[in-house]
Amino acid sequence: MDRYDGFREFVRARQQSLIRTAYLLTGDAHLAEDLLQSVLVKVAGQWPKLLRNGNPEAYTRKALINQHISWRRRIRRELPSADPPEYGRSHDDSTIDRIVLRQALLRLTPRQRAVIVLRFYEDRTERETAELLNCSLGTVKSQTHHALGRLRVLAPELAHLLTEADAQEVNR
Amino acid sequence: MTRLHDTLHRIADEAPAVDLADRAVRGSRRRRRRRTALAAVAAVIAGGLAVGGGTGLLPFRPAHDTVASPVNPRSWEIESSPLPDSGVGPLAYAYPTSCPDRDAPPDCESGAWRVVTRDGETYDVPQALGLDSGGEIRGPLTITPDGRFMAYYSRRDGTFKVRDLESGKELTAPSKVEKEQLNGEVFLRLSDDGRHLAVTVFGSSKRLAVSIDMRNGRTTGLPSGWMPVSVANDGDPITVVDWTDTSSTVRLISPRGDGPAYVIPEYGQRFSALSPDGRTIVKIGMTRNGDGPLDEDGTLGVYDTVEKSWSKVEIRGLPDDTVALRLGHWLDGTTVTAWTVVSADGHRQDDDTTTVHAVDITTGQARLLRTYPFPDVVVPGMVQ
Repeated sequence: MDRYDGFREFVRARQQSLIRTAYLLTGDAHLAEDLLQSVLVKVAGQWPKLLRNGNPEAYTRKALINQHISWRRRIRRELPSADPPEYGRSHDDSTIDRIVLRQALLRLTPRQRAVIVLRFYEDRTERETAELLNCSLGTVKSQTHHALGRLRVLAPELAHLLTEADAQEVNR
Repeated sequence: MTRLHDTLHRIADEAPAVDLADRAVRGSRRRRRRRTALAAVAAVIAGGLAVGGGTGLLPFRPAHDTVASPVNPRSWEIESSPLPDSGVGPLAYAYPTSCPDRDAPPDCESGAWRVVTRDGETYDVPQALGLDSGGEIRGPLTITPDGRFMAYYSRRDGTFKVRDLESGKELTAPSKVEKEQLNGEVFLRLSDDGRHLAVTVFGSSKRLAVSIDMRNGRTTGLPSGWMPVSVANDGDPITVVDWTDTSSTVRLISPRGDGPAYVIPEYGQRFSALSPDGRTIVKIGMTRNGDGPLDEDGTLGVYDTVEKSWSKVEIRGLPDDTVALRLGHWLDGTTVTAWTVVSADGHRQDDDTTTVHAVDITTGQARLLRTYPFPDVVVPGMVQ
């Protein structure tokens, strides 16, 4: 029996979902692939154990977040320039939001990016986010608050997106 | 669902299509082979230590640590003591502690700085800010090439300090730096003699980009958004770099805050220190693969600031699949240190150790200098 039995199937089923998260975390296609592959190598190494005792997807997602946070230096090396986006007439509002948000995310710290991705992209609860980030519920609350505040400073034009997110924070 | 949620999903739609299963299996197999080989090496070293001598290949003191876990030894299993007031020998490297496993003891502190001397003594440096309790801020630490000085951010004093490890004497920056100012990417560079310190933070809400003469407190403002690479012994020049997708620019800043700029026709932000004679700087060669990302191309780019000449030399003599990722100080007029990693298909494969080679910039010939038993350690003199 091959120690990687089932691993390839797992990756093929989940890699597209995982690369989307990795892309949001890194902001760069090459780095996202690099990040995910590095995590998958570790998952492959643990595969027999994960099959027996664990939840491979949960393990992989947690490893992805933690690896991203520990990669801060390498992520910086490939950051594109922070020039403002060019507003062309062909861009509709949602396109501009996407471009501005992507650039603003790049200027958050890795943990702030992670908390935004987990809370507002993956729609994780604060408790799930705390579990994935290995931190307390209070830290998730404060980091979310700080991350949204930083986005508001970096990109005031995104206020319409962030106000809704603020409201969601209060209501949860 | 909010519009923030929807916008994040539209960004995620830009993610590339990937097929990583076979590549991950190949990487895992390579790691397993490597672990087996290193375990064999560790057993040999342990045998050597048992009869009274060490090879020095792995800069470790206790033989049992090496035997128990030859790769990625776990922080809490390594014997350490607080940094003594004086009498500390030259440092071989530094690393932040890590407590990721479920069996880490409750008192294991993650992200605290430790230093290891060339003799293998391991010391905790509690006075240096590591990863702060909120997990947002990581205090920097850097070591001079000779291992005799280190610079760090002092928890107690709220500013940067340079410590002479043998005498224990410390120099303190003249003004406070709020810890929150380090909430970004911090670049800390120390001159070889431990006198001049350059610090720049990217991404912090409050600007910080200065060079400080730690003896007399004189401070020079550095241009914002430029990454410091090295500081000469007399503080002149401070080498800073900036980059675009197609070029990079080196500036040699004098203590007056001015200085010439040199444009290199290639993207890059990973440079060596300025050479001891003050005229040459080396960068990791980078080439764009078609429309794809910029990748290390197996060369060093060499720029002579006097001749204003630019050339590239192919790095030779590295093991298969190994590339130079970062550069550091100079061992002599033509040899520079390089941080190397195993990489395949443009992806890093080894994250268990740190390896440093010396590369002759005239021939490109590389030779192994040292392997450290942790990934991403702070290497003396390395531009990290």
